[in-house]
Amino acid sequence: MAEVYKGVEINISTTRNAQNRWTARTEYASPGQKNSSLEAPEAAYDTEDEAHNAALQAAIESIDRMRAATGKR
Amino acid sequence: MAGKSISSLEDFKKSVESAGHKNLAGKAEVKANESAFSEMKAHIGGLYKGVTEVHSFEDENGSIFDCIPVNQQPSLKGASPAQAPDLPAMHKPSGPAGEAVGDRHPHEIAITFKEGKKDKHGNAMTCPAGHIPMRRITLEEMTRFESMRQFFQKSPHGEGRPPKTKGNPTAVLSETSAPAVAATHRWAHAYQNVNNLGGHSYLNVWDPAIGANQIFSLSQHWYVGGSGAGLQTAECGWQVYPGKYNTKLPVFFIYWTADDYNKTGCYNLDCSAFVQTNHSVTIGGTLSPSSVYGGAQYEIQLSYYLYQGNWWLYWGGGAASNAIGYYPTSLYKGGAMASHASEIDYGGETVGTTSFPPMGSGHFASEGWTKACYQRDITYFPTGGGQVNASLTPSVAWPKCYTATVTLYATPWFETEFFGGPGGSC
Repeated sequence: MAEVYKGVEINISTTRNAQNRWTARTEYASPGQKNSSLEAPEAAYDTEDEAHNAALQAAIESIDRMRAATGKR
Repeated sequence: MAGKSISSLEDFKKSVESAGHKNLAGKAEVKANESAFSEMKAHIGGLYKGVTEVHSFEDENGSIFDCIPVNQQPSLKGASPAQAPDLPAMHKPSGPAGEAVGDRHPHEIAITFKEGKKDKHGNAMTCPAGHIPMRRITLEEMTRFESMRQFFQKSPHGEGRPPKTKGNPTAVLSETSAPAVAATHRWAHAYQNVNNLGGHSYLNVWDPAIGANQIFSLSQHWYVGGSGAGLQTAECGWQVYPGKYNTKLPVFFIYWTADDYNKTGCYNLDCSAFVQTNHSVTIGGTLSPSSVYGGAQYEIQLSYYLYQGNWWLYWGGGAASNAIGYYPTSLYKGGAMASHASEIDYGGETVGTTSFPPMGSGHFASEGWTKACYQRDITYFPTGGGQVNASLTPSVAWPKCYTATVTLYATPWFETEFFGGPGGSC
């Protein structure tokens, strides 16, 4: 499921593990940015929504840190 | 005619016209070189060309406001302003009912909070109908920045960029010089990726202290569209920014950019962009009172709403009479924000160099009501019409300095974000 934050497209994929809990991975949707990494939580969650939201929050925080480094002028 | 101790606009314009860089150079706060100084003089000359005042007043922080005819403001220059609509009605909340709010009674600072007040010179602190209070932009204020570009930017020390075009009242940013120490931004906020025509919240007002090597601290709304160099925003809120406003008190501000804060954008009425229609709200003026830790809580209610080609800004309720004015979508040059925004965002931002100032109350979000800063009743206007509760995702990228939490409460708080922290090194 794609999300967009500050114009940056983020793909979030969720997986149910053997313990019937959910994990999520994030990556940039834009081909030009796929070599850069976004952080994602390592934890597993009871629901797919929880895993998705945790991954989204981690991705936003990554992007915030990247934008702060270059500076909002 | 200006009241006593406030120079008339005509005298002010003459003083700007006759000012020389050598008269200011040497003062500790003057950072503009001679070239930047000339651009600043030209900018002020452009802003005030053909502008007359019926009276002026001084607010609590010493800012002068000139009551000028609506159609003389820089963004109209003779044209007539658009007519404000009422805001769309709130849809009945759907989904979970939300946590009980408990015994919370904040005080709203009304749009009329300066009506009936007089300044220390005895001048009325609002304007007559058909006029707007325009904060006087002075050389003293502008020359505290190294360049026009820094003056218009959301913070003064961004990345340098070669000069491209001459500065002018349309806020095309030009001359630049490398900052001594790079400033960076920190946020504790909450966002939602949703197509929208604006949104609403109540913003709890505080006065975080800005220390040495720190720039500003704020609480605001962002409505965002586009991406990359085409990222566009309409913004509003309060900020403490002594380097700009020469006060430690919170100030009501607006901001916009059409190109990710690169060449376009400015605060308030500092450039030709926002069209003010309201005669009593002082954009760039002091807000009072501020909230007290563990005590009385004060808040302002702000909304943006895109209607018939204009991003209208409201203070207080959704009646057309609460409209402050608008950003014409022509500012966005056919970009995303010309038709709608795709993200809503609420929370705090700070800028610092070697350390970061407190955000909100200076206390972390977990302290909650009366102790941490909040925005409540956060809603947005879907592109299909109406008004619905937001469903926000927080971002806490610097938890050592600041945190943010989002809770869905029952009426009248609904979607609420507590945020803030002490700042420091992070």
